[in-house]
Amino acid sequence: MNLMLGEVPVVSLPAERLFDVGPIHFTNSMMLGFIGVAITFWLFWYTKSKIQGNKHTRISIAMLWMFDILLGTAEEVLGSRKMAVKLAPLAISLFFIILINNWLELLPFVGPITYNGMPLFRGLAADLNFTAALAIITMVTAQIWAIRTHGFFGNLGRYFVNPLKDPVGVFTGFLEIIAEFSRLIALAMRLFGNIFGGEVLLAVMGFITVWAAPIALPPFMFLELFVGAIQAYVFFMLTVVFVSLGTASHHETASSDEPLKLAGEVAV
Amino acid sequence: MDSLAFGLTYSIAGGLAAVGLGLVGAAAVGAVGRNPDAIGKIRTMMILAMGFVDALAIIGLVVALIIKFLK
Repeated sequence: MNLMLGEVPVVSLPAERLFDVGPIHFTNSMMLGFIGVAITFWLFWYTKSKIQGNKHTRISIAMLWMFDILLGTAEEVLGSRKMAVKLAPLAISLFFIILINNWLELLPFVGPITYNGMPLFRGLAADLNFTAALAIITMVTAQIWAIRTHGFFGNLGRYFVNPLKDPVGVFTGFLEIIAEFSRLIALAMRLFGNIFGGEVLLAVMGFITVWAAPIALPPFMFLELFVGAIQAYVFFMLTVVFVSLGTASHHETASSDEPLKLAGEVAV
Repeated sequence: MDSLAFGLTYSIAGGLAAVGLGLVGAAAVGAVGRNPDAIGKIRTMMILAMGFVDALAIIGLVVALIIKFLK
């Protein structure tokens, strides 16, 4: 996204390919992505070393505070601290990587620096490849957790129901398959759409408020900071919710049996 | 024709998302009115739900931009 004054902003939907190293294409989203992931790793290492040395700084305290809130949310959704701690490496890393990359793309060096006529940097989440990869990781993780909880055939039983036993279940099972794919696509499109839309919004606002841009842009920048944080939280939350949907007991009969059994025990 | 498609795609998505945001906001304000102590939890859930609704409007914006800029 080129933010030159007075020029019509050039919107490129896919990330531009900068150069090739062997069979790997390096795009401008990847260039910013490397920086963002490096910062995330540094933050984690820094926090870890501060915890081990028991000498806290502002950054490590802020990281711990965020981590604690997220772990508490995951615990609330998943229902047990043990599962939340097991899922934390994936879900909370996703949160920090998305958050830092969303904020990084608002810095002024993203856009004006060009290489072979293409911007050298571009928001990582403004590339559909990245968000689709994250969505696939999330959905595969949810399936693995469901298989771990219910067993392989138990997990298949969520989608394929014996029509003789439960005619309505066949239809809901079929809907469940469609829902898994629509979740995958919605998860990828939500993050991509928000970040890409935000970049386009900033470019268009800079274009239409030519000389007033320094006054007009800051509110939109704040909006983008907010949206970036919200989308990172939404992605984290959905990862946790999808995993908890897979691990919860899904059989209507089984779940309605449990309270009855409990009530019986209490009566005895 | 492309301009009309651009305008309609974004305005329909944005207008319906506005209705959704209104519903979310009204429900949250009503809930806070009933139970003022739960404002912290309600705020988190309201922002989460608004994120979901917003996402649809912004996907509409992206689709509209695809119509406008990519032939």
